[in-house]
Amino acid sequence: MNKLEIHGLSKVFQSQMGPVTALENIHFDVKEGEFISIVGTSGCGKSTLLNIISGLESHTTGEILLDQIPVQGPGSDRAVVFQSDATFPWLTVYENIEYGLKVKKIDPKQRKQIVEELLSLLELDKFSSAYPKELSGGMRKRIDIGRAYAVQPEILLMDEPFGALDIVTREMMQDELLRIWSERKKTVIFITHDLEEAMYLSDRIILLSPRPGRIKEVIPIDFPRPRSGQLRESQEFYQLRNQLRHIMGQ
Amino acid sequence: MKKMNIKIFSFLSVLILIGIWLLLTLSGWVKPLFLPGPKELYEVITTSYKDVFMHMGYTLIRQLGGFVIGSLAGIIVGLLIASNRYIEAFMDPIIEILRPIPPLAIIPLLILWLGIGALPQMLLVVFGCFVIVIVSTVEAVRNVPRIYINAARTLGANSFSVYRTIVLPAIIPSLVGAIRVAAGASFGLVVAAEFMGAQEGIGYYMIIAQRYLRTDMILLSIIIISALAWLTDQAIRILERRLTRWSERHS
Repeated sequence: MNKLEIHGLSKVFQSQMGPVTALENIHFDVKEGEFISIVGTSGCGKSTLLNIISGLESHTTGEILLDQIPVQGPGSDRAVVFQSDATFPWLTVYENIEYGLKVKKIDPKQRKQIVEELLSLLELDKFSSAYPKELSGGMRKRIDIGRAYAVQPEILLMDEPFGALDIVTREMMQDELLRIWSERKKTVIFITHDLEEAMYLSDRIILLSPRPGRIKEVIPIDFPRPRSGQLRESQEFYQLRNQLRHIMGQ
Repeated sequence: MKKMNIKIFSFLSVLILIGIWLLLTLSGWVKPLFLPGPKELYEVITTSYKDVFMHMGYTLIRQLGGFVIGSLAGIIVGLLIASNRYIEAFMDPIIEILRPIPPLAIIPLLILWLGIGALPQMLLVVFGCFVIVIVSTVEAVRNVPRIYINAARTLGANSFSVYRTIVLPAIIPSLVGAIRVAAGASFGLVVAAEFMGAQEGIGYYMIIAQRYLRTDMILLSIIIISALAWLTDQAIRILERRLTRWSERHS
């Protein structure tokens, strides 16, 4: 069963130099519960693609179907975790995670239950009344993830969520994400420029080539789950990385 | 230890200022007519404190009324402007015309139109505070980081919810800042308005004192109004700290 289908999607920007094609003939499906990564160099249009799926940006041609229904504008069925820190600084950790539920007018009892479950899943219970400024970058990312999970989206969109973190924190957050994802299965589209990150996390990788953004290759990643840090140092991982690196550079 | 040392320096500067005042007045180098000494100041406090407080009361009502009305109107109109492109296009020229007018410059007009009662004085404060607050409000709404708005929308918030749950809390630090500036300005404006034409109020009292060469009364008025302005500022700072505990500025 396909959760998301994208047919013949393109995006043309009007710039001062005339029209610029950012995305051309993008076509792919995402299965229910699948973790898919879209990888490409900077400026290949991968973030534009995610913004179109989330409804924050418009597209020029083609269609996007979520559960066979065309998407229109942003909505909590496609929650986004952004690269930059998007935690609301005036809300506590608890209130941040509760935000989407409050906006959707979920009743307080149910709200409390959802938030408390997520707080413990994310190991944030001790910080529930802290403000984001008191927490590290990695912790704030967990809030973003929890906040997106709380609204129970059909699909979770992640736009280079760990791009601004240092390497150690980033790998820790990748493990965290896999742990959360294995406990609460979600369909995920994950944008990154980091091949290893994509390989470590995904069921499938879509490689985009830049200017205009086109799908270059779709690569299934068959490493068994659950995955752990040892995978990153294994021979197979290394070989696949080189192979993908080669395709990307072509 | 270092913090302590720095505090001593601040304390020292106040002591030196008071010292210079005492030296100049007690030594007789400067006549009480130009700068009253501690003795004259004490006398005027004991003899005319009733008058001063009465006039101060009139002034405070005008200042507070003008400040509250002007700031509130500034916030409300500012939020309206920032919420809708058509309102913005309509209001923008009006704001741009009002903004560069020095508030004191409209005193003659106000007196001509409304006489020398309390109303024109309060209106001057309203005008001054309104312009300060409205400009900051519009600016603050424009500066709300896009990422918060996008995040809210992808979490299911509609435009109204975005305005209420994202824009309003996000602009509070800038708003409180603008309100502090407006409060400071309001004291200056109300006294200036009373100089130009009033029948009561601390500004009026000072003008009368000047006519009778009562420098002691003038000095006392200055001290009281400054103390009030300072206290108001401190109160707003406490409020600011309460309201913006989350902000990076107070880490």
